[in-house]
Amino acid sequence: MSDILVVDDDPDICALVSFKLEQAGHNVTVAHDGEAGLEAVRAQDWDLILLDWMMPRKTGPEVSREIRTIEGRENVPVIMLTAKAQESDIEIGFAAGADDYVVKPFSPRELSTRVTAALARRVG
Amino acid sequence: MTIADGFGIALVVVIVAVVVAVLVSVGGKVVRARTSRRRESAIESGRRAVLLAFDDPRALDGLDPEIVEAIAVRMLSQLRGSDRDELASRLVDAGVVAAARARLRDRRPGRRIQAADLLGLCADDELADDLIDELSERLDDRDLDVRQSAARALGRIGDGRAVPALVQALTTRQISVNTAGVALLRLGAEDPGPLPAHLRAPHARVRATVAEVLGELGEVHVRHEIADLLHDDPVVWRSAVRALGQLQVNDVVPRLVLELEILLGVDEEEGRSSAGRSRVELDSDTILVIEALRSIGDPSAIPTLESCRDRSSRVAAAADRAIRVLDRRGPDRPFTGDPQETATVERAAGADVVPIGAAKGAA
Amino acid sequence: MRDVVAFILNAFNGFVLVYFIVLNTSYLVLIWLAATMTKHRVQRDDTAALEDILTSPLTPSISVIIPAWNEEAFIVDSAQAALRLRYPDHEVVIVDDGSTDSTFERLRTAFDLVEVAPIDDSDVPLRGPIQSVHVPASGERLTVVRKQNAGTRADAVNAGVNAASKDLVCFVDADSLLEADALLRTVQPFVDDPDRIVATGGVIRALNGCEVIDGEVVDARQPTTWVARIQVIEYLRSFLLGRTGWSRLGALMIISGAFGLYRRDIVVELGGLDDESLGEDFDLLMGVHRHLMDRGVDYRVAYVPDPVCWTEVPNSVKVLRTQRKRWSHGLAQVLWKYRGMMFRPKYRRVGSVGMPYYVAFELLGPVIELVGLVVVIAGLSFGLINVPLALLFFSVAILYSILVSVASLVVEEINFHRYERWRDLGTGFVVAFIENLGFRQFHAFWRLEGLWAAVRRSDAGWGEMTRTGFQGVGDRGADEENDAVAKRVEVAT
Repeated sequence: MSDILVVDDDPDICALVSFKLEQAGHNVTVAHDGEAGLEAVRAQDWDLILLDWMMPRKTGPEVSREIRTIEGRENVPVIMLTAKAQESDIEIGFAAGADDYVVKPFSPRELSTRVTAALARRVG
Repeated sequence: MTIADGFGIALVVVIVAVVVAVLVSVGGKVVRARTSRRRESAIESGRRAVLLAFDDPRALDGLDPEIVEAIAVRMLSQLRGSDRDELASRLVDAGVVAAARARLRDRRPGRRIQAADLLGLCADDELADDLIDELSERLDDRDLDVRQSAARALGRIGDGRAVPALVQALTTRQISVNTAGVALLRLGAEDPGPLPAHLRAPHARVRATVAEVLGELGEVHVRHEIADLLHDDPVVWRSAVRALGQLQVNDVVPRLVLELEILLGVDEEEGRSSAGRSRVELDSDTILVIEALRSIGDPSAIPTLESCRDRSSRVAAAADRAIRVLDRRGPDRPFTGDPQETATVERAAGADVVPIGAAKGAA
Repeated sequence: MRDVVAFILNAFNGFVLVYFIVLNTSYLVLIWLAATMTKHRVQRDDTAALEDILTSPLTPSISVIIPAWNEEAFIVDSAQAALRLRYPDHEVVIVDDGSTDSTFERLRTAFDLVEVAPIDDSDVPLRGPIQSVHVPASGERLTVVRKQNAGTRADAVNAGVNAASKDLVCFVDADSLLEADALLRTVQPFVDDPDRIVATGGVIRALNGCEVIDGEVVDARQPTTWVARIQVIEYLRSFLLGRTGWSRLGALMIISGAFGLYRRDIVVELGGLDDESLGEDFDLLMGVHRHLMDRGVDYRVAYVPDPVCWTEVPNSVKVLRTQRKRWSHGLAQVLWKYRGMMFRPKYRRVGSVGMPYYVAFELLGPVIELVGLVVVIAGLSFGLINVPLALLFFSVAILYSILVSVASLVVEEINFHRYERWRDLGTGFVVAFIENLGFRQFHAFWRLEGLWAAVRRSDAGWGEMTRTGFQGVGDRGADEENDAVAKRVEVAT
């Protein structure tokens, strides 16, 4: 049972991802824009964060970079889930502190596997 | 009738018109407030039902099929893999797809659009046989948005039999270039076979679009056909150069180097008269070839690239970048993860600026 | 004798009446064209089309160019907002046009800028040389160009064009807010018809009164001042509907400097923006038209009716007056500069319909309106005009204009529907009356002032007119919160 934060402005994606991750036995909380996501990160420790790129108020990389400066959150696994698919975007995503990068349209099953792997690394 | 009467009548007419206009906008607002609230809550509850349908297709019973369709379209377009297929087949089981097929000929264009979108996302091989004809027919719809949706749907279904209809619609400008390009790209990812034949299509836009699509798809075996388009008109030429850059095969490098030499041979002053290009076009075309050579990454292009250095600074900068890549780094230098490094690499690749350190190092 | 004068007066009034009717009818026609073209905007979801643009490798890349002069208050936010725009491949180029405040320092801190080698040659000639070029250490696609101030916005934009490395250039004001999908929407004509489209413009709306959170308009509302409310309607009528209508007629002549997208190579071919023009945005598009039609190129210019750019409009009469004088002045300048295009078949509808219309109704509009007003007053005071008849005449003319404003509101409400509240709609109706009964006359006077300035200085040559530029300190009185707006040189349609 892990606490996962999903930050995405698309209600369909939020619903889908929470549904699938909840099925896999996780606790999912949703934030609908970058700023709300950061607030949630400051308020609570998460086992993993799923982050969209193009969101209102703050972009994924901005959020990710800020997460890394919050005390106690430096090592939270962050997975980017975004439609930005260019090589250079992926570079920027990782440079901003993401641990993994999943491109939309995405496979929930693959995402689930990556989430499990990231969580396992964290525990280990 | 006096002039005053005329004014009087005009006054009454205008006043009535103002009142009618006010009433129309007030009425419009009332209607919208009602319908949008209803639709929003229907979507909210429908979303949950569509997700539950993953496990149980009966979850969709009793829901407004139009709402289910709308949610399904949005969700399916974000998904791939087994979950996508699973959701699609649940929708087929629930009869949503059959309903959408019937609606392809609905009187209201909005419904035709949504039906086409859904069919594109849900079709499996079995359905495809019938759908290709039904959707191709919609490429002649009166409504542009319906035609665009039909093209998108054909692209997603990914069956090569739809290529002639799409190409035809592109030729007659029934659908937009981007929609056609993306549709052919999606389709080609599944079934590229029928595409290369259209590199010789009579319409230049078709040749250009197909060339770029094949480049993106990495269909290396057609590189020579694409290289032959370098004799074509400027629009096709540009697409061909980009496509060759994408394909990254060394044996077309001599062809590109030749193009570069032709461009360099053009006297800058008389650029327009000798090659039909203005100075700006000459520069941007030269840069296009340089970028393609950089992407292919074959060092044999270096001598010609070096002779680009006495051109305008944009061209020279592009050539420098390319030479650096071909010379030292190779095309597939892995990302090191150092942000400072990203900055310089990115900037060097993205803008016409050279990091000061790198410039000094090179000099 | 008295009869003769009375006859002439009445004949003139008849002329003014006809003029008014033609003017307002032409507006109704434009509004109708725009309404029928945009009737599906609200019902039909364009997500799929935008998604195609977002994921397509064939989408052209864009450089967003933001000229900035003493914009310390806005600059970091607008840079971040521009980087945050939804688009597959765009870069942001900020031109610090010799700011004397901390514009650059704020950027440097916010983005951890590092200096790179300056661009040494220019595709577009500049007056104020480039001093240095900076990029963020994070690798984000931002370029900050510092240059010497040459007194014109055009020169700063030109520096941005030089630094731009993408296919298209998008001109944006530092204090404007773009919607997240602004680039995707305005690029759509380019990807739909890549062989012909050379420029597109997006709709500008008034930001005043709207609720903004972190650079995003989350709730569109009417402004709190009447001056700004009037402009909301004006912008709806002229920018949203008027320009959409013109675009449909194939004679779009202005793309606002606050948000326009051009093919970079065409801007370079034209030598960049004219830094001697007070209406450099109008001038640029006219230059594009002349350049391409001279060469017989098959091209198109399109206007995207979706609301894409929100901008702060003047809240005070004083600033509004300055702005409108300048618009009118710029309009006169540009029409004079391109006068050779009038009525020449080579210039198609721009020459045969667009330009004559602008001269007759935009340029000379204030002259005819004000002279008409003076004549009526004079006629009444000397008892030369039949009072009830004059009143009827006046009411018909004014009510017709009101009808045009109300019609714009109807189209906004039905096709676009950006304002949620009933209050905002009510305010709109009230404004439709006020605008035509009072504001209109003042506005005509300001436009006349601008026209006069243009006529007076045209002998002195074009160069001198713009030395004061929009960036002149005098225009930006420190305590006027909205003075920044006065710098936007733009011509109202």
